[in-house]
Amino acid sequence: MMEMKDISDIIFSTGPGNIHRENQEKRITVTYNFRNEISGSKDLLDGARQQIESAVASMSIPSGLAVEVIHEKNQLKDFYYLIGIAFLLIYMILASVFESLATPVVLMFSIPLAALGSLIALILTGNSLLNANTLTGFLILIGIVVNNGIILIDYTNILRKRGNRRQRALMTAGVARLRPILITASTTVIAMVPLAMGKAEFVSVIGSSFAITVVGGLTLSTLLTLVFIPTFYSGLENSIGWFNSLGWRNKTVQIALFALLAFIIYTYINGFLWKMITTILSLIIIPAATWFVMNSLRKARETVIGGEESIKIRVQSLVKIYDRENRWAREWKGGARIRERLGLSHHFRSWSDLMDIAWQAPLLGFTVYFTYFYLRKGLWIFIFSIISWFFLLGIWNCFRELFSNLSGNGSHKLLKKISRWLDVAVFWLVPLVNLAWFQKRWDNIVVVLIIGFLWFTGMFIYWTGRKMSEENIDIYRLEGRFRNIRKTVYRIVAAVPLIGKKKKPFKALRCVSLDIGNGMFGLLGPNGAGKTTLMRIICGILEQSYGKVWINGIDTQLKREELQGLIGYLPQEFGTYENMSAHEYLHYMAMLKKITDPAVREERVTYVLQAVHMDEHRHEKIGSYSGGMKQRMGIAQILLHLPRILVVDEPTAGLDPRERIRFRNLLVELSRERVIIFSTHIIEDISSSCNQVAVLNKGMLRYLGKPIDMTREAEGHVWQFAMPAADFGAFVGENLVVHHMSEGENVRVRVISESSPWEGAVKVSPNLEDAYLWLLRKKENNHRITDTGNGKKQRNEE
Amino acid sequence: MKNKNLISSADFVYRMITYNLRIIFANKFIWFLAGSVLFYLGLSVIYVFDNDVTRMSDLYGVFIFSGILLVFYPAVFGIQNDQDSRTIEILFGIPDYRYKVWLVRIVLIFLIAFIIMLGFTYLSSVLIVKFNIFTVSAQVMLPVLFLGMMSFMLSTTIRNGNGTAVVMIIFGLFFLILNDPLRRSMWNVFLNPFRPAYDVSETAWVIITLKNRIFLSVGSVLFLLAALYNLQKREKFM
Repeated sequence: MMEMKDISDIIFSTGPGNIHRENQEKRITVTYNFRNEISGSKDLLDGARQQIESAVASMSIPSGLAVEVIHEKNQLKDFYYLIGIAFLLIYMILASVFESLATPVVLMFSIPLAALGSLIALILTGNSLLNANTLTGFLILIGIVVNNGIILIDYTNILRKRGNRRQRALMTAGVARLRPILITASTTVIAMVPLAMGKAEFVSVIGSSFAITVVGGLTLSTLLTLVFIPTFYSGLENSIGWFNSLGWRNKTVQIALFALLAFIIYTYINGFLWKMITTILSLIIIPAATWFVMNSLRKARETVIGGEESIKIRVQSLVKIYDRENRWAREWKGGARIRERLGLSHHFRSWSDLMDIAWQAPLLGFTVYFTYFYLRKGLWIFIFSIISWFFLLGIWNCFRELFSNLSGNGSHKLLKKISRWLDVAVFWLVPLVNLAWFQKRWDNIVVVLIIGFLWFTGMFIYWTGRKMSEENIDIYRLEGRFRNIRKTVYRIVAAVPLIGKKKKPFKALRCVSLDIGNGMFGLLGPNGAGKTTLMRIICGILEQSYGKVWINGIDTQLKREELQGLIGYLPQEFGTYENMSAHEYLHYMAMLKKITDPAVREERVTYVLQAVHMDEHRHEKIGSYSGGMKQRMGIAQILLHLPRILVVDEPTAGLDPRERIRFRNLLVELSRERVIIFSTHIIEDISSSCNQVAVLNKGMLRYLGKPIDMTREAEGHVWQFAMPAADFGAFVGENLVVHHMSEGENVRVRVISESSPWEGAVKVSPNLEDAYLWLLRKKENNHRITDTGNGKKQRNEE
Repeated sequence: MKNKNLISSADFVYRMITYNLRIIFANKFIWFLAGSVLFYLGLSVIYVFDNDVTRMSDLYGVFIFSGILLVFYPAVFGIQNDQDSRTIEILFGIPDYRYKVWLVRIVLIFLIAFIIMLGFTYLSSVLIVKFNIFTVSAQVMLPVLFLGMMSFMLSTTIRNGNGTAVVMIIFGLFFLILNDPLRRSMWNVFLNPFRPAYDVSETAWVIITLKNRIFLSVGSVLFLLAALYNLQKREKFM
């Protein structure tokens, strides 16, 4: 054996580890990067590029060498070109098949959803985002994901051609096509899963990132297709319809703006992807911004109803429910209730019923494996552990229902105990285990404690809110130990949205229908009858839950802002600016009501102050006024500018009889040319001033008609007699005594009763007050008030 | 006739301003105004005694926070005050109340803030270091406008003065924390146009500042439109 140095001369030198050749010529690559602020601006980028080129041009290069400056070396440029062509070809095919330019846009909306899904999947699994593998996967994905939308929209179009409305067609197509969509998607996904679950990013040419792209993109796209595609389809049609309904001026401005933006994007934005994104964004934002501006800036128009037309208000089947759930929750629960009614909902009464949810077990197993064994990144582990916990809670709810049903009749007591322990374990212990596991993985006690605090606080709020709703806890009537602390905790919990205490819906108006024309219209009813609710809905302060209000055929829900110019409203409880004097306040109100001329305004302010007898106090601060004087201020401000519909809610409350009568007379005079809706507790106000009266009780209309006809309702039910004073105490507790007067040892009583309440009782003619009490006393039933055409309303059985 | 219309319009505008100021200036605003003045005076004095060289760019922060204090109370508590005094239902009965009442008030608030800001900048220009008060005031008012309109929009969403104040303080701290990482970004709300970042060229800084000012202006307009849109939903305010 000999050493190399004995038989040769060894020369050590340095050189490149690899020699690249292109077309048999050696090549080296020198890379350069710009700072962020240079890349952020096209002008600076162009300037910098020019500097590079001139620097290279000024270099003395030996012969035999060639230098090429390449500004954006992008190995993946070809892929973008291929993706672009794919888009175009797919669009052409879909447009020709569906014979529409808009429908392919809807169908191809699945592609960004798929891109999102792929992105999330790649980030979750810690793979790199842009390489040949993932872009190949994306190319294939483009063709696959549009299938779901095609299946859905094709059937929707068929149903629409058969005469179905758009919403009905979409819902029916969704139900019918759910199975084929899920089957096709899941077979593709499941076939890709073995390759996706592999650890190697590259398995010969393609690898797990290719499969993850397809799996992630197809999964999210399929799930969202069932929600987004019908929504987008419906929404795009509405948007195009709205755009077509605009005036030519509006359309021209929008198109011009879009053209301008497109020019700016082409000139100033660099990068093909950014150009595309900003163009699409401009296409969406311009009409959206126009709609937003048009809706934000809607103005009141008195001319929406002609000056010569008399006003007619029609209230049709008005229902108002306070504290009802939002639209989404209502639709969801509505579906659940339909399933319950049809007997399709799952109930767990025996062990065999669990077969309905058996499919969730392997999915839970996979979720647990994926969360606790597969994922590496901390944030995704945290998110998926929460998802797994919710999933487990969902499955446990089914088991809890089963255990509760099995142990309901007193048997299986052990099962009942186990159920309670498991409830605590799943709800409280599993999060603790999760936190311990986070600490083991991350070794960061601060973060774990913060997460734990937030998690357990949320759980505590949810649990307390549920307890408050189920046990109907009244915060203000708590008893027992630590009353104050519990009250504070409950108040905080009730204030938390979503997971805090659920509000109980309250029906304030139940299907009220009436017509109101020119003149005084009285609203009568006890406290909580729904008078203020009805008035506020007519004035647009509140939105109705169901039903319609029409003013001369105009739907108030569509043209609310425009109609505000016609309506004046004096609320039941109102405040004023107490640091202003009456003079200043009324001038301010007059200016808000468009009385711009100072002389006219001064004259008007003086007139209304005299009308309410406040002229001598005009320069005193409103804060120094009594309650009655403040009430008169409210009346004064409404008299400033008399709109064609005047709604006054208990305006005479707090006024002395003289002022009340004066105000009533004033309203009657004003009612000749306008609609005045007037609510009160005082019967005399109705009898002496109103053309029509409606009696409301507990949200239902009890009577609608003339005041004089209302007395006939109580005909034959008003009795007068004398009874011994000793028996009066017991009698008054059980009967409706209108009034009584002592007459020696007897008491003379006036009673409202179905039949004779006492021996010797005599029927007397009822007055309006008797009729009112009689109407309120009637039992609630499903009676509808209809107009018989002779000014009297009668009840019809439903 | 023309003169009469002119006088009538002038009277209208004058009264509108005075009456709205009476409403806005009621109760607590005077404390915030005093607070703003004290804050400005205190910080300016501290700055002068602490530093050998006085630069206008360093006073930018003082002006911004004084301006924020001026607009904070009326923008955040304006709606709440009307709800508390139970005037809100009467205001809802006025046609176009959104423009005549709240748009007028919010514009007035920023006008008053601008006038007071001119006063602050004038004082600093005379007493500390000379600079163009209109340029500086205009530049300071842009982030103040952005945050003020944001507060107003949030107050129409949250509909509670205290809640809005808490949320705005959180946002304010958030933007403040981002001030350093975003020191050369157009998205920095507290970007100081008079103090370029040390690692940015002058040309790039001018472009960044221009984009930042466009962002703040557009943002302010969007917040205002959103607030006006929210004010249509009357039921939520009852």
